[in-house]
Amino acid sequence: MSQRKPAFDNAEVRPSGQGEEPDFGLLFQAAPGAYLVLAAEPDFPIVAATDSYLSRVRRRREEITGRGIFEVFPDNPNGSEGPSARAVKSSLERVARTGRPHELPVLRYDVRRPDREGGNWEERYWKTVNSPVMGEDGTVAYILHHAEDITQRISLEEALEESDERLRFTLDAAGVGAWDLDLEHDRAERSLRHDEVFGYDAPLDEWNYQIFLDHVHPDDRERVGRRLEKALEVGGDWEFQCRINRADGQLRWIEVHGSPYAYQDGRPVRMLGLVEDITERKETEEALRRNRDRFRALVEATTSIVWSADPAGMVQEGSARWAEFTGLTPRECQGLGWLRAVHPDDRERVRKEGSRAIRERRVGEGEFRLRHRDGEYRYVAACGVPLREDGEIVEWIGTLVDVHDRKAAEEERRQLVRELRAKRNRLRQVFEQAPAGILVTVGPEHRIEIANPLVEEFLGEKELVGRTIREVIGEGSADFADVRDQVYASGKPYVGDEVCVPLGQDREEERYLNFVYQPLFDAEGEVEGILTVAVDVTEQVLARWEVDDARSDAEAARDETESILESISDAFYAVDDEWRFIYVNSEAERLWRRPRETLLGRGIWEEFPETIGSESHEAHLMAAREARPISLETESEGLGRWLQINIYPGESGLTVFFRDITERRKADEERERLYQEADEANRAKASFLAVMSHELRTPLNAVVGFTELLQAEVSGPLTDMQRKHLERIRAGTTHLIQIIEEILTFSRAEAGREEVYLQPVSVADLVSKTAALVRPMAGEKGLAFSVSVSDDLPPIETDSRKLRQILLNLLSNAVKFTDRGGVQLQASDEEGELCISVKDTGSGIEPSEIERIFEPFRQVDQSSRRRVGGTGLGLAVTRQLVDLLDGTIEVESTPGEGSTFTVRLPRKPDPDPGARQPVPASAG
Amino acid sequence: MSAPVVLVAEDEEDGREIFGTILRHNGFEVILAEDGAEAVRLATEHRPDLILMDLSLPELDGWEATALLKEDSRTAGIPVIALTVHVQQEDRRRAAEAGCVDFLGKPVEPRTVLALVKKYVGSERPAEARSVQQD
Repeated sequence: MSQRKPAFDNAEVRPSGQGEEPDFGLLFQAAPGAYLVLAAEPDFPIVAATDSYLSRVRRRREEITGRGIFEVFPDNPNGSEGPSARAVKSSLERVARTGRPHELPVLRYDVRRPDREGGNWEERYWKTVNSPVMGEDGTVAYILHHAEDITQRISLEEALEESDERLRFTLDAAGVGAWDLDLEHDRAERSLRHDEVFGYDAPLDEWNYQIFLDHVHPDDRERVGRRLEKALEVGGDWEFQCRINRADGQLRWIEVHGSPYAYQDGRPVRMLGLVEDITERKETEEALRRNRDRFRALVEATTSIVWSADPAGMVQEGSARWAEFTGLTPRECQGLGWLRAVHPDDRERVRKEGSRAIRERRVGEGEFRLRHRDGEYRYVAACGVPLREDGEIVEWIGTLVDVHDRKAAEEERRQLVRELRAKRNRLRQVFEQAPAGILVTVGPEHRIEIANPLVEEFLGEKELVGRTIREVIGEGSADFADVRDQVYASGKPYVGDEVCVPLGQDREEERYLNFVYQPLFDAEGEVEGILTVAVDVTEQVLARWEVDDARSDAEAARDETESILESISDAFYAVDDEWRFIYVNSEAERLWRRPRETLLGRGIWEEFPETIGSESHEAHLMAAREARPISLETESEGLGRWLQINIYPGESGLTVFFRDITERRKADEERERLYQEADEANRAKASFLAVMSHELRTPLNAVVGFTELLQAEVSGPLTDMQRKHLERIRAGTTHLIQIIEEILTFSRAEAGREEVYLQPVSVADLVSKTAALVRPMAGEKGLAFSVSVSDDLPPIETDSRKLRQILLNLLSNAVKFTDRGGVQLQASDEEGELCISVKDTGSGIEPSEIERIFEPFRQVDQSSRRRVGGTGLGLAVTRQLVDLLDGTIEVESTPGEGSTFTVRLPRKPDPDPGARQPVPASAG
Repeated sequence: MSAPVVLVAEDEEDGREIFGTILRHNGFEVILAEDGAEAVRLATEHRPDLILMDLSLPELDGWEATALLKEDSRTAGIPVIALTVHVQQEDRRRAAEAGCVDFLGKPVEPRTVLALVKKYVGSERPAEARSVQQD
């Protein structure tokens, strides 16, 4: 025996699976037809045999494999024809020598049944073809031996030639029934086995067509009938297969051959044939067919790329399907070139696995991504199997299967599993962490099956599962068990909102829970348990109570607000942020002459379109836009009234107060008109005064001038009497001039026409010069006259003419009203102000009069006025001048003892002339 | 030596009479003008030593006349005293701006006028004045 057992060295039938190499051994074994594979060696040892062959020769595979063919099948020593083995051997030697197939003529080669079957020789006729299978070295390695068993045919031919007995014997030996049908009389002669085929232990007395047809399976009967009728018409040999119901009840397959041999009028009248039970053959064929299908399916399913590589792992050119799959050329796939189609991330791993397989000399396998010709990477499973010869690896055979779809499906399945697991975890989390108590009870006694931690917390107990609700909650809360009974009995869910429940271990904590009891049904639709979900809403309930309280407070406040809004005299309305009235008070109703029902909910600009574009409209828009309060007075054309409007932006919308100010506006306008009239009157007075001033001065100048010319005796000497009279004219004129000057000054000041010219003034100088004017008058009356000016007087800015006038008035007044004693002037700095006081020892002023002495045309008493002369305007003018200089004047007086007038002036008058505006005459 | 010359510009006849008389009586030569334009013409022509200028003159008012005289180098040196019924401070200020050296408001006593004139011109010939007075 040779050690060479390549490819076929796989006598064992293994289950085929995806990703494995095709099992050539199995394929061969399953092949139809009787084949042997013989090694091309002197003894022609049997390397492999097909199942069909084994069945023909009634041998088991292990009985013949590895043994020489002639050792297994020796010549029949009683054979009538020459030694068969020699002819076969000669043919085999010839094939091995020539390398060409050789067909033997039909050959009798008897087969001995195995001992277990009695060891009889069976006469067999074979049609044999021997074909060479070339090895790598170009010599014949194997010979494929095909032996077709044509014994039946030979036997039938012989039967026709030989006697009935012989025929019968032969047929009987072959297990085949023969028949000879007389069509004219519908009667058949049969061989021994014929009736046995139809399940009869003993031959029947008679056999005819109808009996046959009765045995044919009803489903096949019509087909068979047609077939036979056609055979009679057409003539010639025929055959068919059909199922029969045997007499012993078995369903079998038979094959029937027929051949007409006697004719009358062109129609067959006698027919000869065979019938054979082919059930086993059918079954074998069926098995074979299944095997074939399996192999085909295997190949198709794997869509394998089969490849081969040399011992070093270099892929050999021509593995066409590599190229087809990857789009690479066969040459590109050569060696390790195919690696370039492997996904870069997988390439190193694939290379390592390949190296490992080669190093360790065993199967290499793995999954990786291979670039498909369309550019997509697809997962493939690769497997490489070493082929050994004499223990050395001569070649690697491998497959490559596209497993992308499977891989994707697997990935999808993994993803689904992950998701399911995540979902389950989430559900568990929800269950564990739900802000709701979740409880499942089963059975009418409500035995707890599931309870989440919150339920344990509610009940203040753990390990609830397995106990009944009544056990857990006790009789104190029996209601809850009753509710469950009801749900369980009715199958209807129960919802309880804000149920007050005593919770906690001692059941002393009152909580408010929302309950849902949901019945759970079994497959038959019967209630089997209850799912309870309980949510603690205590906080919400308490909060709502607070809100309710707050709301009723707010409602009370709103009522109060409304009554205020109704009671105020202003009109009021509120609009929302879409300008719709949401409130209108009764005053607004009155002013608009619109009941609020016709306004509420409606748009302000739709109801008062005439307002659009008005000042009020603009103000509303601006207040809303800039979110700031706006007040305005405007004349409403629609109402024909003046309105004062106060617009306040709110959180959404505006609130607006408005009132009718038409009357006030009228009063304002009237006042304005009066002011203007007064102003015009003042202007007229001023202009009158200016004219008066000029017009009076010119004639007075003539009187003064000519009087003095006369007194100067320019025009001639005067008598004493004339001189005395001229002096009276002069004094009268001087008095007149003084009066006119005072009137004019006062009137100018009254009219606001007196102007102030500010300049730095030396008070000491001004005081001494003014005093010098009055001193002679004092001297004439024998009065003491003293002036005291402090050394540290501040420099001041003021109107020097007016200040001189003030001092002159005060000093001359003091001299005028003092008959004894004296007049004293003091000037000093008093807290940064110039303070000048003029003190006399005159008659003084009665307290009742003292308030009025600064009023025009007032003198303390009319008698003194006549006595001392004067207009009565002096102090009035003085106070006006002091006012113009932004100062104050006051008087202290004791009747009979004298008076002190004190003037205080700022270092510089207030620059705002308005502040110095004289008060109107009426106010003086 | 001739007497000092005073130009009196005055549209009122009373005024011309009074001031002319008192000045002549006190030894001054007096030239009289009845309006502003005449005042400017006579002042330019006679170069008086002093001018008494009424401010409310026809043709050319006193402020304008004074300003013109101050602009002319021949007359710029002649002191001008305002003598007027316009006694408001505004009037005084304008007079000072126009170039008046002093200001007298009417009604005014003739001796006050004389004293002020003498302050600016002095009495060159009191004797002659007295002689005039004696004429």
